[in-house]
Amino acid sequence: MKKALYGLKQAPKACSDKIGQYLVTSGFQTSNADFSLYVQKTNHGIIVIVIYVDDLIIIGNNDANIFDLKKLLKQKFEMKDLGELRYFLGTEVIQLPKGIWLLQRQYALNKLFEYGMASCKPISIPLEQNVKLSADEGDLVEDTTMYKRIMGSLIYMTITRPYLNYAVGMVSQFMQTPRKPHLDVVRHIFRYIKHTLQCGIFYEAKSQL
Amino acid sequence: MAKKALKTPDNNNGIQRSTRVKYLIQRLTYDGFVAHHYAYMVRVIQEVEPTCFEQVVKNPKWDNAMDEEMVALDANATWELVALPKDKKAIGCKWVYKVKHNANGSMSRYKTRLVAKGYAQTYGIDYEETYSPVAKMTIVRVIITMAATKGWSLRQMDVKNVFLHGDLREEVYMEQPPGYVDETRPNLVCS
Repeated sequence: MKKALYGLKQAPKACSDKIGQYLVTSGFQTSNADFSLYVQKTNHGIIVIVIYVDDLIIIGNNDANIFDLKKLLKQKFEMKDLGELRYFLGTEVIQLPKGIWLLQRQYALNKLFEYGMASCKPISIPLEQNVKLSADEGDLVEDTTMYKRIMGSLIYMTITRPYLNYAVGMVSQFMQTPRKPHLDVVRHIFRYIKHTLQCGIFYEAKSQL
Repeated sequence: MAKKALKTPDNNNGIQRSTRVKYLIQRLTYDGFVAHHYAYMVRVIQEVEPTCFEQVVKNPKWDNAMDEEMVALDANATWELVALPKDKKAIGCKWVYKVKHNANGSMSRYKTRLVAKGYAQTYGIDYEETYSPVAKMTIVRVIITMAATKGWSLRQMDVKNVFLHGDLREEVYMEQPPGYVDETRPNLVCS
């Protein structure tokens, strides 16, 4: 086989190498902080690219530069231009003149359905007061795989909900041996998520970094 | 109802329950859905996706989709046919079928993909390194913050058939895809 094919073990590496090499030959530098981050600095401006398997985010201060780059990428890799960033890995991106909103509305809604919490009653606090969870009190949860799966979803939802970090951190300590009281707290968090479906992060335009 | 759904079932009357992962979605009924959601679900369920090549033989809609994928593979020069060297093994491959839907539930297209059975590969023989970096969500957030504070444009692109672009360094041999075996050279393998 000359080229990678879906299913081959080395396929993801082969294609990310290829795209990376191409970007490096076109004057980009790989970031030391994250190998999927590519930066090009020229006299005309700066372009930054983030790659997530087949999704690319491009930012830059010179629209003409970006236009040229996109033309090259389209020829080389059959890329599709999706225009302004609107949706990335389950996160909705809403670009307004005032700033940028990040929301995980749809993701949260899907998860509520998936875990059978779609019709729960919303609640305005993420945790009861003074909750004490213990590792060895209460009945064991039978389906630990499901508990771990739920933890994964909750952790993912903290991307745009930093205020959930404490509550999620607390219940995720018990992934080894989840018990019924832990599940009760999880249910409580989901009720809070339902209450805060519309909430997200807002980055104000022209504020300080 | 919601509370019930998240609860995992108790061991009733000492009856042994299977320890298989139980998906909570099994406990849902269709009763609570509004009409257009119900219609959407019926649509999705109606169109059954085949699981192997034998099920789609002489089915024109899937044939077209497979032809399309073969054209893409040919255009990419993914492989050439060679005789299998004596000391090598060829891995298998299969077709994966998927019905794509529009947001309103109407069928949008039939999509097929040829996938190699990568589980048959052996480390050191037909694959070596597999690590591939992906962006961390924090990096993505930093990028978005930069775009917001500096007022830069924030755009997105998407690679079609991304995995077909990579060049393979290792020697990999694969059987010819089901339904597309070269009649004059059926014993050759893809290399």
